[in-house]
Parts: sequence; C-alpha cells; structure tokens
Amino acid sequence: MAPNGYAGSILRVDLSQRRILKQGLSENLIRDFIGGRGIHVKTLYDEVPPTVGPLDPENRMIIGAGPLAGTLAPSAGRCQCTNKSPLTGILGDSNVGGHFGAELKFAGYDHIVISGKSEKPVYLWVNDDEAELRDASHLWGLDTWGTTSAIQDELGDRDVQVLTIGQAGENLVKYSALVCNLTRAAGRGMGGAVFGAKGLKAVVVRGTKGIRVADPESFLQTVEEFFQRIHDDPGPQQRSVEGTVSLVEVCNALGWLSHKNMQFSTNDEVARKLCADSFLEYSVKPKGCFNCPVHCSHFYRVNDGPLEGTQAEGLEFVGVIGLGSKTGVDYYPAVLKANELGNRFGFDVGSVGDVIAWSMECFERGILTEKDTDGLSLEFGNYESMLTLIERIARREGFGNILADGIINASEKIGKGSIQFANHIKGLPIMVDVRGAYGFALGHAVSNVGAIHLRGAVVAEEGWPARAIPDERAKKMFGTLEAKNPQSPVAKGAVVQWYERITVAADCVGMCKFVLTPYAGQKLITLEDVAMLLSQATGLRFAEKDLEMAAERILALERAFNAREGFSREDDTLPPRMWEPVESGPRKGFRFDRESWDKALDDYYNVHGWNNNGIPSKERLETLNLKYVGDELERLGKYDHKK
Amino acid sequence: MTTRSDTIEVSVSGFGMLKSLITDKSIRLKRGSTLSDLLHFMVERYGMRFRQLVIDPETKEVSTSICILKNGQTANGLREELNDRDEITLFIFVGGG
Repeated sequence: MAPNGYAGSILRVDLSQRRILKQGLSENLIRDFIGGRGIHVKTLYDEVPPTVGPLDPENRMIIGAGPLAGTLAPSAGRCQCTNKSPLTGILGDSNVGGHFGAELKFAGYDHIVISGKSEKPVYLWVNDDEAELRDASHLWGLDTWGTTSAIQDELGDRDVQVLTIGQAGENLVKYSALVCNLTRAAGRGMGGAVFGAKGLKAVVVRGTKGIRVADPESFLQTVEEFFQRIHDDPGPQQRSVEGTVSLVEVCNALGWLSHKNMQFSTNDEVARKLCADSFLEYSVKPKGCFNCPVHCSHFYRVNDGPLEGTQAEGLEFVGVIGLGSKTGVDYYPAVLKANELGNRFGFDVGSVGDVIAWSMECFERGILTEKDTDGLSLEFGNYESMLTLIERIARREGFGNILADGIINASEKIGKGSIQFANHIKGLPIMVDVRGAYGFALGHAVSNVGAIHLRGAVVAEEGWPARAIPDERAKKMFGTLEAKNPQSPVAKGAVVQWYERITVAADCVGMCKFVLTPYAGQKLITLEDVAMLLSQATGLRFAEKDLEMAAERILALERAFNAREGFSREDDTLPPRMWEPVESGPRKGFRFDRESWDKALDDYYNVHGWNNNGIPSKERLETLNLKYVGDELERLGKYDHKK
Repeated sequence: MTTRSDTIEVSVSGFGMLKSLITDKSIRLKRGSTLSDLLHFMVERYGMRFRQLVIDPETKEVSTSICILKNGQTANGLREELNDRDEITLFIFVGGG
C-alpha cells in the first residue's frame, strides 16, 4: 500500500489494444522521484527512446498529480502533463491549475500513462475504480468548450473534470495545449498534438474518494499557518487583485517587455494600454484553482464594441505578452478575444502569439506579402488579421498550415533569413526580453523544455534579491554577494539552481509555484516548508536536503532525456536578438558578452555536477541512483564530445 | 530655514496596487536623505493601506516583498543616499504567469 498523500495507483491505458490496467505505485519510485514531474520524467525516459517520434503511437502522454494535490495544503491542485514535445522534439512538460489534478487523486490515481493510438476518436472516462474508453467521433471537430459541455451532458454530471483538446490538437498543430476547466491550459508541453495523434479527444475524471494524510493534526496546523502567511504577504494580495497581468508594467519598467516580436524591450504606450488597470475594466470576478486562496485568474467579458460578447478566463502574463505586446496589438478586447480563441481551439497562447508576431515582422520586412498570407495584411497591430490567422492555424488552412508546424519549420519553408527573427530556445518561443539579467537569461537558456520562465529562471531578478536575502545568508547560499547583482554573471549557476530546486519540488508535490518563495513574496513557503508538509502528509520523513537531492536527480534525468535526443551545450543559448545590445530603456546599451556567458554556463553545469557539454557525468548519475542512465549515455557516445 | 539647496526632489511612482496609493508625482526631502527616509515618509503620508502593504508587521521594516527601483535599476539597499531628481519606483514582487 502506498504511503498517505498518494492515491497509490497508476492507470495504464493502451489505446491500440484498448487495454486499461491499474498498477501500484512503488515506494522506491516515491522516494527517488516524489511524484508529479519526477515520476513523469522517469517514466518518459524509460519508455520513450529517441526512435519514438512525438506523434508516434509509442510516445507517452503522462498526466498526474503529486502527493499534496487534493489535500488541504494551500494551492495544491496542480496537474502535470508530460510527453515528448511535438514542437521541440525534447522533453515536453507542463503544469495546469484548475480542478483536474485534485479530481484525479479523488478518483484514486496519481498518474495516468497513455500509450498507443486509437483507430477512431475516443475519450477516456475514469469514474473512481471504473475506467473505459468511449467513442468520441461526435466530439471530433468541437472546440474545448463544446467538448467539455457535450461530455458533461453525456455523462449527466456537471462536476466531471474534463482535460481536452480543441481543433488545434486534432489537427496536430505543434503548439497545441491540453485544456481543463474551459480556460486552464497545460500549454508549453504541447500535449495537444500528442492527444490528437493518439486519437484521444479528452480524459475525463470523477472521483469521490478522499486523500488520507498521515498526521492530520500537525498537517492542519501547518496548513493553517501557511494560509496565514499567504494572506499576510502583499505578493499574493497583488496577484489576487490583478493577476499576473500586473507584470506588464513591471516588465516595461525593467526593459523586459517583448514588443513587436522582440524588436523593442520597452514601450510605455503599450504598457499603459495593456496594464492591469486596463485589463480590470473587463474583469467580472477573480477565479481560483482547487483550494487556492489567491485566485489570480479572472473571468472577463467584453460588453461593447466590435468584439462585444468576448469572454473567457485568465488573462495570464504569457497571453498578454504573446497575443498583445509581441504582435503590437494593444486594443484590449482583441487580446482578450485572441485568448478566448486560444482556449477554445486549444493553443499554447504564448506560442501562437509568438508565431504570428514573427510572421508580422516578416511581412513588414517584405519577406512575406499578401500573396503568401492568403490576402491577410499582417502589419503589427492588425488585430483582425491576428484573429483570422489564429483560426486558420487551428484548421491548418493555407498560410495557417505553414505556421502550424512552428516557427523553425515555418522559417525553413519561408527562408530569406526569416530564422533570424525567430525568438526561441530549443524550439520553444521565449516570451520576454532577458537582456541585462544573467540569472533570468541563464534560467531560460538551460531549461530542459526550452524557453520558459518557470523552470529556474531568476524571475524578477531586478527588484528583489538585493534586499530579500541578507548579505550573510546570500554569501552562505551562493558563495558571494555578486550573486545578487543581475548584471554580473558570477554565481548565477547557484542562483538558478536554487530556483530550479523549489520549482521541481512544487511540480512534484502538486503545489502552485505562486505561493512559494522565491516566486511570490519572500516570506512565503520555502523548500524546507514543502518538506515538512510532505512529511506530515505522507508519514515518510523528507528533509529539505532530500527534496534537493530529488530535484538534482530529476533535473539530471531530464537532461539525459534531452541528451539522448542529441541536445547539449550548444542548445543552452539565447536567440540571435538577445545577443544584440539593448536598444532603449533602463538597460540601453547592455550586451551579453559571450565569454562571461560561457563562464556562467560552466558555473551552472558545475554546480549540478554535469560535464562542460551540459550532460550529467557518469559519476554524478551514479550518485543519483541513475547508473543505468550514465551507462546508456556512454553507450550512445554522449560523453565523446570534447570542448 | 530650509532653502532649496538644502533639499532634493525625487520622483515617485508605483505599479499594481501601489500605483493608486502613491498620489504624488514627486517628493521633496532634506539633502542627505536615504531611501529608507523616503519610504518612511511615504508610509506616514499615504495611510493605512499603503502601510499594510509596504511595512512588514514583524520587523517594522519595509517588507522584502516590495521591490524598489532607483532610476530603473534595483536599489542596492535602504541606506542608499538619494540624489536630486532620482526616480523611485515601487512595486510588489510577483513572478511569472
């Protein structure tokens, strides 16, 4: 029997054979990989070798929620979705809020591992101990909203939790998302096309069981204290009122805004038009995820004007940057409409905004003309073209079909130097201008899923560390006070590692990063606190160092997965534009220097015990109980590279 | 008597929830004032809500969740001396999304 906190089971679904099996969760797996993201990468590494393409039946779609998900721990309802990514060809791993993760646990499962391919469209219906594949032919072609309500009607239960794809996923658009609760997306792992390729329209769960915790009295006491901290800290209060859109003005002030496909890093007018105050004019009310006191999402509605009737939920920072600032669209209702379409068609909204922004730059530079774009005029700021193009990408119509394969494939087809304006890391679009902040940039560059700010990037590097960590503590943690200076490359490996570890822990236990230090206020929940919650919930003893060790193991295994796919140091870099000097704003004239960057990268590899090609050494893997991984990498010649 | 040369004027602004609470565009302070002096002046001036957000009830100091930019860059510390025409921006730390 699995420890408390865990549901204790993995549901194995083979779509080709139409076979469903229930497996127990082993305690060794728990000890080494905790849950969620950790168990997912272990499963992916072991079952998806380089010979399996992202859209092949043998790719795995792994959906899971960690041991704290569904408990009373604050903001613990996150669901992790993992697969080989159709966009990048490497690890695809994403995290979604809402209520699906907790419901999965209530139904009695920590993970669902889906393999194979169904001949006809199906959806997986998990109702406590019963699991079955049901025909989804009548749902194929519907958007995520239509699918969700059709399934709820069919099952006669409005409380079933539906994780589904829209037309984008069905049509194998490479940056399509999995959407639950209509508007919550596991966006950046690109699981939508994996569902689509498998003929899987949705996974639906209903659970009526509880989650046992080992020491309810201590657990509840801790939970109560942590809720109080969240209530008292201004960070969650800010997020509660304005959501993550509040970052628009901050990013503009810091020179991190990505405007017009990252040609500019600030624009006061755009920041003013797209700031939180402007967004709140459309907000109806804040909405929360499972057991979260922050409720940072907002249901919004546009009540007049040409886009009257627009409604959805969010809007998240990545959405407003991707669909607004990057495309030069600063008419808020259009950004909100684009976000609605993104949710309904089932896109990673950041990526669809980015690819449109890139095509707009190509258009303005004359690389693309209306002949190429099926008559669409794609100058920056043209929101009507943006909205039309979103639909054409989802349906793979005409020019939309070219963009549907992602920015790298599109630039190969279009040529004429258009790759120079493609702002991505490892194939995943980057959302913000990272120049002038070494830890922020480094965290993006080394992320094992590509450019993302929530895997180890030192978010808000300008602004907080100088004050938040007293000098003595900073010296102890990072070895030098230089760690606090964003413009210095020194010690940034250790700072990124600090962020990575708490991030991995959150993704493993099922908590939202936004109630954890250092992602929100500085007096919120730390790694040590997570270890305490986890110990009280599971009855196993986890200390901070155990979570650090698990994080190192998980990061190393993610690295190894990517290394096996042919990725290495040269991929831990920034897009061309990020090597140019900053053109305006507070960091005007700043330019990353290659030598310093290389040193920062060496430092980062070094703190993890990886070699200078960015691959975990055999010795390091052995200390992490991953000897078989080191042996495989050696067999594949992954250690032959000499810098 | 205080003369103009004895004082400095710094511009102040905020983002997010602090934006509407900071009702001045600039504040005049004695020459030699520090960032800490400015913030405590603002706390006195802008009332309870501002105080709740900016002051840590435990330490009675400016909360570490408040980010302070001086002329667009991270301020080094509260003891930093201010100069005439410095631009101070305050916002509440929120990361990601």
